Amino acid sequence: MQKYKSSASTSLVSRNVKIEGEIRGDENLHIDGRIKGSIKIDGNILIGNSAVVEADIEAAAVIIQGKVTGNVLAHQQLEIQPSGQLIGDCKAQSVVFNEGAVFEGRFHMLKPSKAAGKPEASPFVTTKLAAVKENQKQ
Amino acid sequence: MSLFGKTKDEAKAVTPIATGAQKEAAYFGKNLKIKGNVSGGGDLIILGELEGEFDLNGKLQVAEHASINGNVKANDIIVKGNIQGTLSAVGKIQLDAMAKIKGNLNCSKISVMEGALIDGEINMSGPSAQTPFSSVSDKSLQSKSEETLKSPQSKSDETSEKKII
Repeated sequence: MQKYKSSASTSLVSRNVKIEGEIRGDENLHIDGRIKGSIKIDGNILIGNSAVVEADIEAAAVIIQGKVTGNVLAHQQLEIQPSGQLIGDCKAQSVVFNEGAVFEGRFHMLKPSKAAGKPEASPFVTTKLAAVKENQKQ
Repeated sequence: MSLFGKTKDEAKAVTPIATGAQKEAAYFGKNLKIKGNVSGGGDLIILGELEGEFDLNGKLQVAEHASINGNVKANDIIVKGNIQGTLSAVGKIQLDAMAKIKGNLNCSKISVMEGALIDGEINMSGPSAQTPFSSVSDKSLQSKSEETLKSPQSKSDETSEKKII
């Protein structure tokens, strides 16, 4: 299993906090509140159950448990958990959609960069997605 | 941090601690830069940089080396870092030795440590500050005025008595 690059600290946007604007930095982020704007982070993002995010997201790894509207770029893995909802296009090197997850949009799989090593995605998911892509082409 | 690399069960086990505690303070780490408005309730600790307006219904702590460029409103504000903009607190503002502030301060209570830099005006117009301060000063003024009033009277009484004698 590939270890994600983990930044030194994790920032928390708690449930009652609302941010409108840009968020940048080299940091892990745990969001339980509301965010409107854009997020670009070198660390990982966990979007919690109570979170409502209307933003374009760029991060190493993204886990979605709440509601996200916007485009997501995960340099490593994107995971949408059963309570999660993603409306928007996403790009990721590997992906996990759990049963119950909501996803509306396009998905583009990134090629693994040599520096990042082997992708962590299970072969099952990748083959399934490849099949889906082929169907779309036809 | 290792949360993201762990299995789902472990991830689930970790998340309720953060989400379940409603009063947990929001925390912006030192590598985080935010441009925009931050609002809401609850406590907030800032170690990074922020450009924009702040409107918080809770306690705000600006850590050492943190910087804010914009106006700040909160219940209580504790500053150890740099702020450029107006600070408005319903309760108290506490400036530590490392604090640097360029802007006005509005609050009802203030505490400034030696070494803190302030470039601006301080307005203490909060209701909780005025009542005890003004009442004390009024009493002292009243007592003084009573004394001053009494003393000439008593003197005049004495003189009048003397005259009578």
